[in-house]
Amino acid sequence: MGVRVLRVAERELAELLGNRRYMLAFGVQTLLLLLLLPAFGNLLAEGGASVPAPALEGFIPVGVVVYSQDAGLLLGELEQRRELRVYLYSSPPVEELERGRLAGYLVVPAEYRESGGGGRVVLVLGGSLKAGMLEKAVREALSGVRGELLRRSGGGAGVELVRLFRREVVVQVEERRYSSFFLGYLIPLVLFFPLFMTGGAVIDSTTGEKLRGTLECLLASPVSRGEVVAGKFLALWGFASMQCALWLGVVLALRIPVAEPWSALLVLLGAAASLSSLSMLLGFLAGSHREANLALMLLYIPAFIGVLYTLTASFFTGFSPAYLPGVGVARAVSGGAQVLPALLPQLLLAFIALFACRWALGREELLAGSRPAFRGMLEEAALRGTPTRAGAHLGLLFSPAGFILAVGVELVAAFAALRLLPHPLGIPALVLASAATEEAVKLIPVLLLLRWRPSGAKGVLACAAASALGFFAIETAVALAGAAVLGGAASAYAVAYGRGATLAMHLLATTTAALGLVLGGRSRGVLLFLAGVGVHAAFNLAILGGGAWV
Amino acid sequence: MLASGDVLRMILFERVSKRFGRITALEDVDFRVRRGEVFGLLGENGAGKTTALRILCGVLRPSSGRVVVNGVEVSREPRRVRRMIGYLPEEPSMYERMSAEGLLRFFAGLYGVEDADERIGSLLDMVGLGERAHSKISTFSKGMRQRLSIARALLHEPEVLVLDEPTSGLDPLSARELRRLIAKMSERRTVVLCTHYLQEAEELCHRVGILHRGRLVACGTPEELRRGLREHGVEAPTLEDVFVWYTGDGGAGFKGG
Repeated sequence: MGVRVLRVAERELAELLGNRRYMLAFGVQTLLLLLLLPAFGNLLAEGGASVPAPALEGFIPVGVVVYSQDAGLLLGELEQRRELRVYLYSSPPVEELERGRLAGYLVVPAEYRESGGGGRVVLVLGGSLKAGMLEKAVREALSGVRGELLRRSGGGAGVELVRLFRREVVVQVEERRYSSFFLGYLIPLVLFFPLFMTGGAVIDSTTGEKLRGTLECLLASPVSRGEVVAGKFLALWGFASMQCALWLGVVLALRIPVAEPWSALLVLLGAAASLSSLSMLLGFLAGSHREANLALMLLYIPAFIGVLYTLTASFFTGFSPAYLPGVGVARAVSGGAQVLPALLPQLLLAFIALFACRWALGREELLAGSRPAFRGMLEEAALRGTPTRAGAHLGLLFSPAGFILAVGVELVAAFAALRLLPHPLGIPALVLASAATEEAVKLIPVLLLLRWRPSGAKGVLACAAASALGFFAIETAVALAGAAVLGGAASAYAVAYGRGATLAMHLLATTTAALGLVLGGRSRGVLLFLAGVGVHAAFNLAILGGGAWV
Repeated sequence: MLASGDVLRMILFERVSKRFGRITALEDVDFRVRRGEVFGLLGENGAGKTTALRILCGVLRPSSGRVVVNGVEVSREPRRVRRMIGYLPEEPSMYERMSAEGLLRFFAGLYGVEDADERIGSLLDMVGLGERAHSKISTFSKGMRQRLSIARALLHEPEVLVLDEPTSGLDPLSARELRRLIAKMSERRTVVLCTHYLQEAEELCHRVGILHRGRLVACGTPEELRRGLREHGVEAPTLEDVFVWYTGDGGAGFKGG
């Protein structure tokens, strides 16, 4: 298997590298990078026309070790500075600094006495780009202290700052101090650019190959669909990764300080894997070059905006969920990167997308050059294999569409219930409407199965259970993603906790509702459907009531 | 277990149906191809010929029924069957930026062909492309591409050759050259040929099957088909007359042997 995957990958890569159009475009862009980055570096150097350093609340974490009994004024000044987040330590937090959790720490020795006219304090700076900002903030705080002491004593008092660097100072190279904006924002953004240049290559390798008919030749040879997907992915991922590595190399060659280049590269490889695999999936599903271009635009534009947003948010507000690749690369550039949290979700996403590619390539309508019709796919799933397997397949396949449909109906129901009904009735009506909507939607694949193929109780129940499982999986993924983005890992964990009860509810409610279709009879069917809705609604009410068990 | 007749039978289509959603491309298609035979599948556009060939090569899966090649069921062991088959699709689609030799080398790698260099050289000579071995495929004419496709299909020395409209769109000289090549190749292997050109079928095929709207409406040697019509009181001196009778209104509901 491995040999055939490598053969496919080798051919794909040779095709990409032999494509003069791509290579010329990439060469020109790299040359522009070589020319423009130093120019931007100069423009945005500290002291030049630099973008103002961010001064938002708590952006710069600083440790303070106070041995002096008389440093209230200094501590007050530090606490007053909005950009600083002050942590007090009993001993120098060397480890915290080295792990990048602090931009630096300030040591106030026992000899320092404000009633005695001040003294020396020691500022130890870390290697991150925030170190420069910290030094500036501390200097300003000390200046405030100095002014106050001078005012009190009438002259002769002062505070002296001794500055130490524990780590290599990444913000000082060849006597040029790049601005934090340049290092913390622009360079990470630049490093992402090559990922968004591979769209044409992906379309050529997927939609193009399908429409040219070469895919048919490939599938008629002893290569499995999985091997075709793996080979193409390896080539496209390798191509995107090579471009990222080259641009990172250019950045390093320009002596622009990147604190952890290997970490940056690893995070970029993760992002390249997820973007390439998702692009491949869209390419395989598209029925024409036009469709493929549109689909990739719809993927790349939000992805690019996402990178832009996370970089902006992490730079200006300190928003830094480690699993976002933008944050991962920004941290790698400035120091303190956490590679695995940034890499693993991307690899997981790539794995899921590749699995979907393998599935998409198995859709035989694709070979006819057209996009598979959803109804056709469902019907084919319903007719293939044993009724139980077909039911399970159909239930899972329908669930993404079912989820979207249910959410749409629930939004309308929510609007209607909350706007039209009087206050105490709105919420219970909405709960009931949501439960009824979701149960009805989850029963659609069961009804389709029964329409297209005679199926017994096992097939119907398998279809209902799979429909419930698929719905639950999508609902969980959406809830976790929303919680993680809005509230961070702790919120996501809180959502994840107790999802087992939700799964049990979905399975119970939907199979109960489907049982009516197995047993037959209109009144029995209605009764069991209402029972399923009742289970669902009771569960939702328990959540609204604050039931911790869910 | 195989019956004794299977030794002589290379290909078996048994009640094969293929549906794409609500569209039925093939319905209950039954035919057998003997070892060493050239079998022609005839039919108008959209009759299901290409679908049948794709199922035979394991590119598509039948919705029902089974296809057996040399005793191996395609849906159970598609990869093994693909090793036995050389497939020439309707469009001679190729990787344009590769050279003829590079393309054959790539497929030789996929099929695990031993002595690939020697085999590639002899095949390119056989199809008359020896001198263009290192030329990019994008510079080839359609006839050259078709010949290169045949070389690709023969690369792993398949026992069965599946040709989908091999002479479609070629000029008369190239078509004649290709027919000569097919006749030569068919000396040592079983060939399933799908074509629009009835003269070509008459010239090359031992037996033909006529597909009409996804159903096999007639099957036999050209002579048997003509005789069959004569027995029904229909005069059909050529295979074209037979084809028109079966695929026009006259053949509706009639099933050949």
